[in-house]
Amino acid sequence: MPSYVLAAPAAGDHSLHVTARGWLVLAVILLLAGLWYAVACVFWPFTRCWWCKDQPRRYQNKRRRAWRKCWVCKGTGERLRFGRAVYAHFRNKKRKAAKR
Amino acid sequence: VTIEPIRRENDGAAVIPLRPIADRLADLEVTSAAAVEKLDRSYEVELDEPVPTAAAPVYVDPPPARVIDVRPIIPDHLRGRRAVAASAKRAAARGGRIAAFHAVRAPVVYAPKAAFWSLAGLLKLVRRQMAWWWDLESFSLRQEAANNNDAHTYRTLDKETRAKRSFRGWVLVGELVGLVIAATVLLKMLPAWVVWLLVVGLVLTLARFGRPAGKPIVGRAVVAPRFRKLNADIVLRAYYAAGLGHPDKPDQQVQFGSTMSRDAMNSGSQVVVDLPYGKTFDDVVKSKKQLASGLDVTEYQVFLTRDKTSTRRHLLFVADRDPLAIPAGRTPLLNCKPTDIWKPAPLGLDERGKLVALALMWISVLIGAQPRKGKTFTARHMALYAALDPYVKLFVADGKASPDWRAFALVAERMVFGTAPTARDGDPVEKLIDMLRHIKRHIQRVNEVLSRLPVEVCPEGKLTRELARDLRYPELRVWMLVMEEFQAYYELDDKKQNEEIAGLLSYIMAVGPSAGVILLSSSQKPSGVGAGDIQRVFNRFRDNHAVRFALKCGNRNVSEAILGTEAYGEGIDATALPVGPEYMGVGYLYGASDLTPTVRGYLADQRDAEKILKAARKHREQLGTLSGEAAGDMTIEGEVVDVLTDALAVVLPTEANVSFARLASRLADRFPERYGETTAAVISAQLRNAGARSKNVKDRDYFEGGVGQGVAREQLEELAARRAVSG
Repeated sequence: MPSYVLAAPAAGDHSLHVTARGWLVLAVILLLAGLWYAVACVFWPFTRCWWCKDQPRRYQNKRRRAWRKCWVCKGTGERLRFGRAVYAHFRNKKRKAAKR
Repeated sequence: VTIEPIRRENDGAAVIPLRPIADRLADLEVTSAAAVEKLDRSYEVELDEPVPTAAAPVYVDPPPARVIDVRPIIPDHLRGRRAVAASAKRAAARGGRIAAFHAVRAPVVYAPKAAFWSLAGLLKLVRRQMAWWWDLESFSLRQEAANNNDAHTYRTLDKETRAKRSFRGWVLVGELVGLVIAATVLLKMLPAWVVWLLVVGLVLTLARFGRPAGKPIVGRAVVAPRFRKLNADIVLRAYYAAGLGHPDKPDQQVQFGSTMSRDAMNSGSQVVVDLPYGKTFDDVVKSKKQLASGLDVTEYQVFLTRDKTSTRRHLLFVADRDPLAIPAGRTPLLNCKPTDIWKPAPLGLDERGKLVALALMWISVLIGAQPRKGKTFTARHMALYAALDPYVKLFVADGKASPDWRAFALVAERMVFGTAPTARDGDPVEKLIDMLRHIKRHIQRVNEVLSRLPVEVCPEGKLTRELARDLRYPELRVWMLVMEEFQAYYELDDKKQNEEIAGLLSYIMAVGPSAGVILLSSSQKPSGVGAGDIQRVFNRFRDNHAVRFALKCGNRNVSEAILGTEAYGEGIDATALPVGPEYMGVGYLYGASDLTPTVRGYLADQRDAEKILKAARKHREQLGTLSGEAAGDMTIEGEVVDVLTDALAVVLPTEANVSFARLASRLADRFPERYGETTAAVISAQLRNAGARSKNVKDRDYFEGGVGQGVAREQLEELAARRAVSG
C-alpha cells in the first residue's frame, strides 16, 4: 500500500496503521460506491439473481422429475437490489398509510 | 281597485282579466318585431277569446321588466355616415396610439426580451427533444414496476424503451442533418434580407415558445378595466346577508322584477328587486352598507332608486368603479358664454354621471364642510354662473378675507373682505352693514315697484325674467349676495354690530328670495356660533336656507347643522362621505328636489375663475350693465361715489397727465366728505377698476425722483365717454 494510506510499521510491530488521510480516502471511496449503488438502484433496480445465477429452473425435486422456480427470484432470473427493496418497502408502506 | 272576474259562457269558470298587450308593450318599451312575436306566443294571450282592449285591473301579472336585454341590429356607433366616420376616427386613433406605444418600446424593451427568451426557447426545445429521444415518459412506469418488485413488467418496459430510443435517435439524427442542409441551402440561395426575416421570425417563434406562460414579451398598451359582474346569486346573498329576507322562508324571499343587465352607459350592473312583503325601501336604504358588503363592493358603488309602483320594489345599480372618485372635470362655464340666472346652474355630476343643475332663483343656498374640502370652490362656481349673467348684480362678503374671491372685483357691485379694518378696504364691518342695508332697501324697493306695476306687465305680482331684464326697470335686476364664512360676522367684538348684521341677514333671508335676491352662504363652522340671542338668530338664519350642499364634514353635529336633522333621519350624513384627495368637491345636495344626489362638483380654480370673470366683465361692458365698485364707483354711507367723474372734475384741462398722489390730494381738498382719508393707492386701485391704465408721469412735487404712477387725462375722458354711451 502507498505510504500516505498506511503508516510505516515500527520495527517488530506487525499491526496495520492507517493514517488520517487513509481514512479520508476510504470514506471518499465508500461515498462514491454508495452513490454508484444508489444510482444503480434507480436506473437498474434489478440485478442477476444470486441464488439461481440466471438459471431459475435448475432446481429439481428429489425424484428429479419436476423443476421448480427459484425461491429467490420466483423464476425471473432477476432480483431487486437490496437498497431498492428497502426503499420500495418504506415507500409502499407510506402509500398504504396515506390511502387509509 | 276592485277586480271583477269575467264569467265564460261555456264553462262558467272565472277568468282573471289580463292586462292588455298594449300596456305590456308600453312597459317593456320595446317595439321590435321579436318582442311582439314573443308576446304573441305567450301563455298570457287568450286563444279562444279576443283579449279585452279596455284597461282592465292588474291582478296576477308578473312585474314588468323594465330592463330589456335586446341588442340593436345595427349598433348606435355605426348608424349614419357621421357615426361611422367618428367610429373610424376613434378606432384609428386607438390603433395609432397602440402602434406608437409598441414602436417606442420595441428596440429598448422587446428586442432584448425576445433575444433572451429565444435562447430559453432553444434550450427548452433541445431538452424536449432529448426527453422524447430518451423516452422519459416510461421512466415512471419502470420505477413503479421496480417498486412493486415486478421484474417481468420491468423487463418488458425496458425492452420497449431500448427499441424506442434506438428509433428516435435515428430520427433526431435525420432531423439534425436535414436542418443543417436546409440552413446551408437557404443561406446560399436566399437574399440576405429574407434570411434576416427568417432569423427574426425564428427568434420570435423561439421566444414565444421559451417565455413563461404569464410573461408576455409585448406589454399591453390599453388596459381594459376589470369589474365585478353581478349575478342573481350574489345579489340574493347580499340581500339575505343584510337581513332583508330569508332564503328558506317562502314568504321572506327576495325576488327579481327584471333580468340582470348592464346600464345604458355600460358603467355598472342593475336589476329590479322586489323585497319580501312588509319590507320597505327605507329598510334597504338603512342596510346599504351591509348590502354593499354582501355584494363585495364599496357602499359608494351601490345605488338604490325607489320604484313608483311599490314601496317594496326598487332598482339596484352597482357601479363597476367608485363613481365619486372620478372627477367631474373642468367647469362648462369655461366657454365664457353669457348665462341665464333663470335657468338651472350646472353644479356637477351625480353618482350616475348625470348633470346636476341647481335653479338659483327664489332660493338661498347653504354650503358647509370641513376646510379644504371644496366648499369655497363650490360656492364660487355658483357665483361664477351668476357673474356670467350680465343682468345679475353681485355682492360679495368674504369673512375670511381669502384671495379666492378677490377676482370678483371685476364684476361685483360691492365687496367686503374680512372683519379687520385695512388701509385698502377701510372698515369691512361698516361696509358690510352698509351693503346689507342697501340690499334691504333694494328688497323693499322691488316689492314696492312690483306692487305698483300693472297686471299686464306683472301678472302675478312677482318678478319675472322679462322684468329683470327690462331696461325700463333697472331696479328689478336679480341680485346675489355671497356670504363666505358668514359666521365670522356673528362673532364680532361689537355686540351692536353683531345684532344689526344678524337682523339684516335674517330679513334678507326671509324676504330676499321672493324679491330676486339670491343668498349664497358658506361656512366651515355652522354651529356653536355666538351666545344667547345671537346664537338663536344665527341658527335661525342657518336653518332657513332652502337648499343645502354638504361636503365632507368632521362630525355628525356639523353635518346635521348643514343638512338639517331631518336629512340625517333619511340616512344622509355628510360625515359618511369618502375621504381622500380624489373626493374633494363631493357632497350631498339636499333640498333642491325630492332626490338627494351625491354631487361631484365641477372644478373652477383661481385661474379659471379669473378667465370667466374677465369674460363676465366684457359681457357687462357690452350691455352696459357693469356698475358699482367694478365700474369704479365708490360707496360711502350708502351714497354711490363716481370716482371717474370726480377725478375728471379735479384734473385741469391743461394737464395731459396727473399723478395719483396729486389726484388724491386734490380730491381730498375738493370733496373732503368723500375723499378725506383717501390715499394715492386707493385712488389708483379705484381708477384701475374703472378701466384706467396707470402710467409713469412727471410730478416733482410728490415724487423724490420726479416720476411716479399716474393717469392720462385723455384716458379718463375716454372712459367717461364710453360709459355715457353704454349707459
